[in-house]
Amino acid sequence: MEDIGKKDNGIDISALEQSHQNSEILNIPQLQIRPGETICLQGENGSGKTSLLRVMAGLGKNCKGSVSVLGQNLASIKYQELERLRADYIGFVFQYYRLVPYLSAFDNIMLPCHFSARRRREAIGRAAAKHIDVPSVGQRKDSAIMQKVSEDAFRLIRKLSLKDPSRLSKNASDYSAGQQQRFAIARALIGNPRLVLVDEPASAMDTKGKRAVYELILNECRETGATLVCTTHDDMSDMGFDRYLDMGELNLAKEPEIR
Amino acid sequence: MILFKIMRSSLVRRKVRLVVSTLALAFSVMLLLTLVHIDAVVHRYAKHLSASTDLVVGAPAQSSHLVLYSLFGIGTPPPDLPSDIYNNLRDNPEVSRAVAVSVRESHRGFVVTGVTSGYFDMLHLNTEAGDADGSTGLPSFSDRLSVLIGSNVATSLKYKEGELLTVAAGFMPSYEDEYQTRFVIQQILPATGTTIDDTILVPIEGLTFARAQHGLAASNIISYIMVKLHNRQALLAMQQVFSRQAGAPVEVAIPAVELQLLTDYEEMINTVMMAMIAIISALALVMVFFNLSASFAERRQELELLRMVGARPIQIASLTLAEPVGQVIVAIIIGTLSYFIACAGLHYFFPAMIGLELSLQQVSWLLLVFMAGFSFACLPAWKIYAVSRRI
Ligand SMILES: Nc1ncnc2c1ncn2[C@@H]1O[C@H](COP(=O)(O)OP(=O)(O)OP(=O)(O)O)[C@@H](O)[C@H]1O
Ligand SMILES: [Mg+2]
Repeated sequence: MEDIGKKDNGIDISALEQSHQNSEILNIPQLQIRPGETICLQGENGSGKTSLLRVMAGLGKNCKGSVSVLGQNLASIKYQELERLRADYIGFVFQYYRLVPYLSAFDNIMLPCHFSARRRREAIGRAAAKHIDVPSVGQRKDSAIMQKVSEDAFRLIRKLSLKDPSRLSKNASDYSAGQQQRFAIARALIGNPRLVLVDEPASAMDTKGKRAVYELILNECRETGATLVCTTHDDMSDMGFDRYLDMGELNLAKEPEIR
Repeated sequence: MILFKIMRSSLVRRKVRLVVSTLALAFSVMLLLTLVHIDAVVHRYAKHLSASTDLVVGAPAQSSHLVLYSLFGIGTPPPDLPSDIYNNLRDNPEVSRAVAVSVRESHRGFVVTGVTSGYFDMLHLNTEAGDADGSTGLPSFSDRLSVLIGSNVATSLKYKEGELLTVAAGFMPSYEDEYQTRFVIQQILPATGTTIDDTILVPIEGLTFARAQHGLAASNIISYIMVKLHNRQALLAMQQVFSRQAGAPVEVAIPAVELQLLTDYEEMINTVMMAMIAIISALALVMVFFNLSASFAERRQELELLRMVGARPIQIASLTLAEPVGQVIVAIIIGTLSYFIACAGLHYFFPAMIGLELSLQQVSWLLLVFMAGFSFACLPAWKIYAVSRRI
């Protein structure tokens, strides 16, 4: 599994079909995303954006066809490998349930680093402003290590222009919707995931904030070479994503009855 | 550790329900322990008492009255009985030991009990049930005019060994009821937690002498006779024999029978209480259970998120399991502690309620409560595990 990040693999989807109770949700004959490519996924409500992101994260149910993520075939991947793939290499933001509401904002951001040694290492390397592996970190997870990891969290938080990084001790649910989205983005980006999946990460933000946030996501992914798939309803045509995909064209699933 | 943080935060969110259900469980644990203890004490006590005294012979009266008064000091003293009945009975070859007891006099509000020498052997047996250190040498009268006083008597009247006292006929005596004979306090008996503590013990010969000195015609009377047989098999037969041979109408009561009635009542109450405790515990456990499982639907997204950041199903499930298991453990600890406190409190009123340790039976009850709580906790945890596993 350790070699996933080094392999040049993006996402490879062919003949993907997903249905729920006889109604087809996804039907994507072919979709290839190169490693390091940044994709903006657009489309009207119910066109299947969220469903596609979930499939990429290995959360899709009743899927047919082949989906390969970072070189791993999700149809045949072993349970533990999927677990590692997600923890070590995928950063994500759900459209709705973005944070664990009863954990502090800070703990939420740090969450992936608690479960992944790789992301701890990467976060520390990042905080030291160098792209180096930090072998001394190993599996350790003590407070000194987490302290170093948190420096990277604060770097992201500052970039997300959150005013008071020191005061992130409130429960996540006590922050405004826009603030919560920023925390979720920081969590998705911490520890240099190879694949970043974000589902309408800025829907609750003001126009100025939106652009800053998308810029940050794009910059972070470009710096680390991560593959990015981002859905949005906003006009992001001038943001400089590598590719803009229209879900209406991509997804051949027959029109759902209610739109 | 983040798992611990997650658990603590989710605990805090539901603290009121959590505290209530934990306390309910702790309460039923305490009741359970207390009940088991009372049950054991009552049975042990009853067994001891009925082993020490096979028969109680008295003037015609309710047999339960005789037993309750002679063994527990409950009720009023039974009517008088001529003492030659005691002499007849003592010489019966079936009798191992017979003790005549006279309860007709008092001293400054305390009952004066006249006894024959064998009394202390029986007393020893009687108090052992309630007293751990009652095994040091048996007291005995050195003289027919020496008395032994109970610890409460000594404290409230501030008596010391060697002081003199007089006794008076009846329990609310007037001036002329007072006997002239002086008795010497030979010894202050150690506290036993039984009625002995409130008693002044006098040799029955001393009482007879004092009554005669006072000019009472009926100086030779007693209240009842406690009998121990060589062979308990002869119990019913001897009951018949005594009734016939006494030479006067008598009541011959069998403590074992009366105590059986008592323990039967106790068991009945016990069963009812146990049922109540079972209901309380079940309700508490159901509360613990619903605390967890009520929010299953809303937790689905939370589980997805935790899974996506790398939490393993077993970690997530152990959170779900640790919470109610911890709750049950806390409840058992609180319950046991408050049981000890309750015991210490009860010990003040009923010295037989001693016990700052748990009996095997109590420990197995606690284990049962824990196992029940654990199984209850396993259901939601297993469900969480199964759901997480599929994410
Ligand atoms: N859990 C589900 N059960 C049944 N149908 C679902 C489920 N999730 C999504 N769908 C269906 O799949 C289709 C695509 O939904 P999806 O959420 O992917 O759309 P979307 O493009 O993300 O929409 P939006 O822009 O509103 O977020 C919809 O028709 C929806 O009804
Ligand atoms: Mg969506």
